[in-house]
Amino acid sequence: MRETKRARRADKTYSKHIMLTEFGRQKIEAWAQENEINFSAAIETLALLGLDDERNSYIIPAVRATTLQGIRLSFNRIARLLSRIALESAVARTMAEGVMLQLVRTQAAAFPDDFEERMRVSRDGRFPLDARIRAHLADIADSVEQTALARIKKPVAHVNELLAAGEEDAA
Amino acid sequence: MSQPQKGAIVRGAHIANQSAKGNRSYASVRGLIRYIAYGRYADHHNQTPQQRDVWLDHNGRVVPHEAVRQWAKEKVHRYGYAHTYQLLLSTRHGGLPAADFNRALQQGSDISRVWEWKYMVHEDTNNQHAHAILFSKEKLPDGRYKEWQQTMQAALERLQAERHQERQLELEQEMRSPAGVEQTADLATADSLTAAEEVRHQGWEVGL
Repeated sequence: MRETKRARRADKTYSKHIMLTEFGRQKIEAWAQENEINFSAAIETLALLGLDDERNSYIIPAVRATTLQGIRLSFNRIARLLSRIALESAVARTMAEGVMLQLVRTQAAAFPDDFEERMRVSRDGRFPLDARIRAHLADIADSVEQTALARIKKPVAHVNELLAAGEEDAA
Repeated sequence: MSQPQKGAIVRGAHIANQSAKGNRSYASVRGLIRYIAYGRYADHHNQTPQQRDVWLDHNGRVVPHEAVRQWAKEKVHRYGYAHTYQLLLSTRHGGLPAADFNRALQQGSDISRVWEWKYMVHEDTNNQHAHAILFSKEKLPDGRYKEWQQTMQAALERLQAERHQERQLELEQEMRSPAGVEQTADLATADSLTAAEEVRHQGWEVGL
């Protein structure tokens, strides 16, 4: 029995004692397993289908169960991708902080009286060197963005692999 | 009764980084930097001036003369330091490494709130001395200035005494060694030279 994978019913349910042949029970059980819903949802869905009820709500238990299963499979893959992104981000942040701290330390050692002021690069154009520094930074940012875009192609291919993989592979 | 002679003296002077019209100016500091590095124009006698020694910073690193000028210019014109202090750290017996003058300057930092300076040690006069240039945004009140000067002077005196004692011990060890005995005559000559040097040191307070 795959009870753990079966979805709960959407509406409130009531117990009803019924008698089934072994053949009928096995057929219904097989259908329930195939659609990954529980025995009661299966028997209700099959009964409503047989009654040709105009309402479509009887299909809800089966649809809901199938949808939840799909989401569960996708979620595992997406969660793995997100955790990788979070890890990369944390590593990049820690390294950037380390570099920044060393830079501040170097400036503080060289100019202990006013390193805070010297760390500022003005935007107002009064100091040509500062304008050059900002222009150079913009050039670096462009270059880094291009490099990052090129590097993204590889992770995208990996994402496709992950999405194509089965649940066991992705988890 | 005369007071015991000091082993070291620290003297200073304040320069307002202002022109006659009241604008920000580093002209006086520029002149001072040149004077410390090259001496008086009149001394060059139409020759290319030679730098008297190397500039050092508060970390004891050598700094090119042009970088010292640029540093001073930035301090005044970009970062708004309105006050310059020039210090003269002078020792009675000399023989201090440049780092000792730096240590003496460092001793005063907590009082002056100035942790950055450029200095040059002059060995080409009768008395070893160092010139230091420091900048401050505020003028130090008289009491704090005096405390600053006295703290550096006490540190320099202590360092001078330590170095002097070290040299005396080295001299004694040399005298005890067999080679030292053979050189007794030479040492006697050295003593007479030291005596002559001390006579010269009577006027050791080098003027700014």
